[in-house]
Amino acid sequence: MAPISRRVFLKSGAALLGVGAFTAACGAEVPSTPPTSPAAPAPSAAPAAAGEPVPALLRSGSGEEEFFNKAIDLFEKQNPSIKINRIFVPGGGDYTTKLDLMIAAGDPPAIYAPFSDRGYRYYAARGLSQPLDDFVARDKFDLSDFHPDGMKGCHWNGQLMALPLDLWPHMIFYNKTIFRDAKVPDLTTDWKDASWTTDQYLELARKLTKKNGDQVTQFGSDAYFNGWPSGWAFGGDWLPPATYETGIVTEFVGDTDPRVQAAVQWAADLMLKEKVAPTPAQSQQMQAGIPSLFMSGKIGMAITNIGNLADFAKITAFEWGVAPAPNPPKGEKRHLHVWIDFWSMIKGVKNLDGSWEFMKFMVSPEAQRIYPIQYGPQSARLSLGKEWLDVQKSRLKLSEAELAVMTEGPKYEQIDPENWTVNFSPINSQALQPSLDKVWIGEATAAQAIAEMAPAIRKLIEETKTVKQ
Amino acid sequence: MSATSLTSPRDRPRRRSKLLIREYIAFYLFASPWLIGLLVFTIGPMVASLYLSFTDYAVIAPPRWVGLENYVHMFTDDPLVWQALRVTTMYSLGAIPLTLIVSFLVALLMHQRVYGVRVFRTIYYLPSVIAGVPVALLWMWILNPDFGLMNNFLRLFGVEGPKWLYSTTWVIPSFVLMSLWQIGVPMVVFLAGLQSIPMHLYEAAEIDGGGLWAKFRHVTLPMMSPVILFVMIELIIDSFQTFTPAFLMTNGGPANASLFYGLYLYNNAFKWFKMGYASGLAWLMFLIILLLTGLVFRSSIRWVYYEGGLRR
Repeated sequence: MAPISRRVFLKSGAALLGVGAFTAACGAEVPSTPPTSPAAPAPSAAPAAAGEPVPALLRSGSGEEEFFNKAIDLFEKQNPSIKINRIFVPGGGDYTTKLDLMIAAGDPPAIYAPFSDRGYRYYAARGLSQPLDDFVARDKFDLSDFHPDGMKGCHWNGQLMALPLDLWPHMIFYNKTIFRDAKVPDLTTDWKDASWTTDQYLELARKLTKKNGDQVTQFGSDAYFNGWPSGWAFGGDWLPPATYETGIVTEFVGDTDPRVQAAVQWAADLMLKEKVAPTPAQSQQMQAGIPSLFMSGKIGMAITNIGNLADFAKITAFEWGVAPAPNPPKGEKRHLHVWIDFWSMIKGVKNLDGSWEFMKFMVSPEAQRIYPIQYGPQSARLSLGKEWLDVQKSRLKLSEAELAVMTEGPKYEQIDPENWTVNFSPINSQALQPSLDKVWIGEATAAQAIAEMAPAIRKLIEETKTVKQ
Repeated sequence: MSATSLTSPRDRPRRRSKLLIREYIAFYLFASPWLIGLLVFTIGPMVASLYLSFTDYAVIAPPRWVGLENYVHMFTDDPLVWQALRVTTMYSLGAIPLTLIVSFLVALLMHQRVYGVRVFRTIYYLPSVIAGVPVALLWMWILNPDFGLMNNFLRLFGVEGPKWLYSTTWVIPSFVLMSLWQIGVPMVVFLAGLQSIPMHLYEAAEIDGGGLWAKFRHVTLPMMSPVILFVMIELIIDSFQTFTPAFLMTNGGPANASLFYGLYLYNNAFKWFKMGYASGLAWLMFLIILLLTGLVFRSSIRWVYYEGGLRR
């Protein structure tokens, strides 16, 4: 055989490489068209069968992985024929990005809970959520143990589309060591104590703030929300009550409710006028790697949710306690938000029965004892209130009365519009929050910022209130 | 009688053409991996994004044809597009000349024959090696208005520094200042250009009585003009595509004062999942950069000197 010339060898090699690359590119699996509104498959008469693995899209990054894995290990032990494909993603935008991409690729997660500013209703409004009524009826699944507000939020257009997962009520966490140093008595533990108001909160914050020359070395308060919840502090709301019934933002009332403006200005004054709360720049400096500014030990009082309990349990440098959020001035009704997460299912999952069995398990008392109870938030099941208390008692040095503040909290709090409505999230990120930024850095008053944001918000409402399917 | 040639005249064109064809085949075979990559990973997505820019595409549903609606909305109904263009332009107007001038001056310094100049070259280049995220975090600390190095330094002179990233007025100057961190790459390019200037030109200038400034103006600058053109175009493209610092440090705030165009495009695509609209924004950015580089190339006829090249 004649020897192959170098030129021929190189040409053939290049040809093979080119063909190989072309084949690889063309042979790649083309994602199927994402489901728009396929008919919701009916549950089979038979119980959950083995089949495709059940993909579960789960949040990670704040310590939840350990608890989700524990719960799923237990499920797989009890259901050896159903394999769960655990997909962990950080919460917030990363989570919703992953979820959307899985839907677009035609391989949606069996169950998901966004844990972010876009709730399941965003998908339900687009006809992408799997209704659960038939499953509940088939298995005679008892829904009576779930938190009533949670169950309300599980319905969309009269259909059950989700099951409640957990509750994250907000309250005041305060540094008892700082309080004692300043000879200030502990805060009330009674949500009905009308004498505990925002005026008293400010007075205490002034007493607890310490300075070294011009520099504040200890703040009496953390920022009292630096986003949309700041508008609620005096009992007002950016949105009319009907929003929480329909789940769609169709109207903006923040510029006509004087309580909203007063609350935002009060929150800004804490930082800029009274200097009893850190500005965003000071918060950045003080936080420096710790999960929460409160843990720095330089904050007297902070309003935050019970999701921080797992981190706060590790605090050894100071003693801390819990109190209800202060009442608004002038006898207004307290307006504070409770975050409720929901497990939901996207249409088009491959193993429908397996997915339902898994979802049922994750909201069962057995799984709820692991997540959310061991992690920190309260279970959406009313019957597990005492068990949640027992877990907190074992790891927190809080009195019975303080623990009761946390369990009583949801009764005095209202639904968070972010994951409750279809379109609040883009309105907040595109118009509301940017205008509020100017207030927190002292470049605008609350009145100016709200006047500026109102036309932009109304325009966004017009663009987003109708959901195209 | 003429000897029969091995190749008759009739055969020669056929053999030449066969050879030519073989040459072309060889060329395309060798180039095919790159060509396929270009088609699949560059041209293909560009064509797809052009199509998507005429659709309403939210990823979780198939694209829906809307014609020019996205572009109409962009130009008539979306104030944030203009805000993003304004922010990006202001940044570019500051960062490009500053980076160009400072990196050129540093390259001139690094071109001197002094002991240890290689160490200095390394030192000036090192910041460019550090990736975007740590640089962003570092500058957030430096520019903190209360505790940052910058304001602490200014306080030594009795000057109360601005709020930098926490001020709508100073946030863009903060990013312009940060852009100086990355002078390493243009500096190295300028240095290579300076080192290629023939010494006899400087000698000739000296003989003619030229001083330092004359040599710089009549030898260095003209000989460096092609390199300046290249660096300028690179800086234009980079500055209009600024994303990482804004995303990490301010996320477009405060109050959209640092909403760079690249960040706004990203938000539309991956935060709000308006992929069709984001594709339109991407094409607008492409056209703007194309226009600007075209204008710079056009103007280069007047000020770029190509040794040995013909001026049109």
